[in-house]
Amino acid sequence: MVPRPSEITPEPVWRERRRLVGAALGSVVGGALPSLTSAGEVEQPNSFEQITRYNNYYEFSTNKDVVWKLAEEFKPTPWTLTIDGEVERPRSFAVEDLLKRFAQEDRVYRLRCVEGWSMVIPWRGFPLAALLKECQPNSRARFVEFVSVTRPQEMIGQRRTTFQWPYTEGLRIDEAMHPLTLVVTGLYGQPLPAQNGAPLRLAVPWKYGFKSIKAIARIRLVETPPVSSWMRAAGAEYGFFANVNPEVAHPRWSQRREVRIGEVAKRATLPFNGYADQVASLYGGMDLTQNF
Amino acid sequence: MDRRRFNLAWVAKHHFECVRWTSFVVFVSPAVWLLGEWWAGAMGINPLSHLLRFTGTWAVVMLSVTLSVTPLRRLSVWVSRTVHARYGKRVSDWNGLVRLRRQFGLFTFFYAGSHASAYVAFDVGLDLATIRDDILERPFILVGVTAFALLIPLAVTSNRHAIRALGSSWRRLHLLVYVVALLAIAHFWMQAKLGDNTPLPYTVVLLALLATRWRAWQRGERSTAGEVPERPGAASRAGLVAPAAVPARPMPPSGTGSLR
Repeated sequence: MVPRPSEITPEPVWRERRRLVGAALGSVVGGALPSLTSAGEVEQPNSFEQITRYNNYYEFSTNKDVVWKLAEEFKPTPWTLTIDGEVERPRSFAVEDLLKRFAQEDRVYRLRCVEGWSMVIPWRGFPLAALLKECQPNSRARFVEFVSVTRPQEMIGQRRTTFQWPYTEGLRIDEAMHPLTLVVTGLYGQPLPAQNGAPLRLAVPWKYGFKSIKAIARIRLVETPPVSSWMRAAGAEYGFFANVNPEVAHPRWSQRREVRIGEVAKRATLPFNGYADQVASLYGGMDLTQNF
Repeated sequence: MDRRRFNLAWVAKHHFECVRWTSFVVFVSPAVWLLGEWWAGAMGINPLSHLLRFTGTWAVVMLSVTLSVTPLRRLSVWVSRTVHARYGKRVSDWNGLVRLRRQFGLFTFFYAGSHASAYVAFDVGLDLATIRDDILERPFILVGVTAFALLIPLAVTSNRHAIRALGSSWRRLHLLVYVVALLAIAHFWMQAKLGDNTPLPYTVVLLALLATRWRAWQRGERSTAGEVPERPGAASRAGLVAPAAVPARPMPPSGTGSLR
């Protein structure tokens, strides 16, 4: 579901709108802050083309340049999201109902990939907390597991078995309930393109990108820490928390810097991807070197 | 009509500068292409990644080309002899390839150097402390830096004076290229993410080339260049320079002697 170029809000118009509504947006969760670095520099969002033509989406390919093309086979509608596990009210939602039921917000988030590149992305979506509250997690709900789909007919990368499909991810309940954690339904004010995780994906901006699971079909609240796909595939390299942390190197490469898409040279990576003020308190007293 | 005028092998042998320049143009063209992409702003969405991959891949390709010279010579000599023995015809061997090997080796150094320069200039941003951290934190950087460091003495000694000055130790020094090949393979795999098999074809080629060395070494064929025996027809080359000095030798019946 790639919108035609004519359907896309021109970037200058889009940016102007953001400036106009920026104050209102910012009041929600300090949402205006994510578009500023600690140095106070205003970060321009990446272009629609950059965001939709450079995708890390193993269900289609390990090659980021071709995912957008392969993803044309994917059918994100109809789509049902099921929420079950340790909740009082297990629910299923059609995506259209989610769009109606929860107020959609535009949020500009940085995305830092564990591979060492980053983007600034104007997502549209709603806080995961609102969705989870609807289902009333019980006292045993300490973690949240997210499960995507297995559709090797539509997702050609799933025909390889490097991974166990479907892709799964997990968050601690307080991380899931954090106001920054967003269920993404759109990009640049448009429906989410398939290569970016249509119809529903997460945006957890202070964690490496792989935590922001795409094409979510099921959310399960659980008592014990879920094992994510990347932990299963290479647990020594990818931990459960995966908070952006320049001080903790990936076993094979440093995480001290990143290349912002659109730039040639690398820049410094910020702790918690620049969201330390909002989220560092979640990890008080934890050894982040051990809990990487 | 003189058959030689239509014979590519003869031209290649007697106008070797043409071969050298053609080879130069062929192998410099990837670098020109990359500069074109840079100039046109067509380096893709992640230019740094493209720059590093492109130069790194071409360094490995040129290393493979360099290392394939000796096996190709051996193969061509074998083909040449077999054809002669079986069919009485002589075909040219490709011994002349060895005259391109220095160029190939220097191209390897050039692409590896571009790769290293792109890394230092854009990835670490010319910061020495960052390079130190990288080498300590990223084993694959250490492996890559080592491979490039080992190429430097090889490039520096790729000239007539160094060969003469170093004598027999020149050959021993240049055995380092095998270490470089192994480090390059390791470096290539260590940077690849899980599920990415891009390094596989390059690894297969390089390991196959190293395997031919291993086999030759096991058979006791330690010296590579001196290994190729002179063929009877070799004398005809001298004949072109000074026919009077050539001992009378019957040319092969087919006239393919002009290949030499």
